[in-house]
Amino acid sequence: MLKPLDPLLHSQLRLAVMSLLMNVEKAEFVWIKEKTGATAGNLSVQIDKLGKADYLKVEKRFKGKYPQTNCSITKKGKEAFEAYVNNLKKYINPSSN
Amino acid sequence: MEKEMTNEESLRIIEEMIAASKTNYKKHHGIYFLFWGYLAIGIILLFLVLRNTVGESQAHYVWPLFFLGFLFNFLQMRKNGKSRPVVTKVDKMIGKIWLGVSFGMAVLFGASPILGWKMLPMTLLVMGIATYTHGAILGFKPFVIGAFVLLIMASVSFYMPDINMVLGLFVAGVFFGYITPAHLLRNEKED
Repeated sequence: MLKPLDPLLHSQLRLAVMSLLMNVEKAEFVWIKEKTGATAGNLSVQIDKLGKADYLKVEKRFKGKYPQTNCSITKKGKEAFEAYVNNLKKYINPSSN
Repeated sequence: MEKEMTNEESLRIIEEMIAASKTNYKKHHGIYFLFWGYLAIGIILLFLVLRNTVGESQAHYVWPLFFLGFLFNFLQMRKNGKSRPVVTKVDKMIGKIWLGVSFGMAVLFGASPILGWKMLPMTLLVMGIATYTHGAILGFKPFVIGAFVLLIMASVSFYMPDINMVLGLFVAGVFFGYITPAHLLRNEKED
């Protein structure tokens, strides 16, 4: 039986953010925004949702006078992403179940 | 409300973002090589000055100055961690390799009063191994070539009977095998 896809990850921008952060140790908000092509406001909302779910670790500090946000994926986030990808493969190729 | 995403679109997003996360951001690696390289040559010159003024047995006490390099590493890595837009898994891997090398070098420098001039070819050997590993992981050929320069200089140095020849090989090794590739990396175009 196919498991439902994680609704937190089954969203364009949140999935894009998680996919990016799976391959790096940590990244700045600005870098994530550049790679995803998202607006600052929308990206901020989605990162906040992922942070509250403990999928991401979000660190906010100041670089001189400017605020800086760094994101990294948590262990829970990695496990959730891997589970999402495994379930996705089953949806795309049901004969492999 | 967010647009409904198909499973195929999900897969496409994952693939695109994985490709986008592959960054060729490596220029910042060069500064460590430059600092260590010029530090090493500076310490050698200091050794030569002291040898001609206070004598060789006293001059060997300059080798612990290499600990300045560890201090620089620590401060620079902290600064990099805060200032770079992304820290890659390669950065982390390379950092751990050099940390391990640092532990080995610390043992070497600690034994410098006993090792005397033999510390120099041993230092070149360790530098060569680490530089090769770094260059291979980064995919930067000048580091790999530089590593072989260091290893060759180390090999020849062990057989040199005269400390002046060892010093000359050390400086040449560091300049051509360490500093030159680092300048090439700093001048390379970033993605």
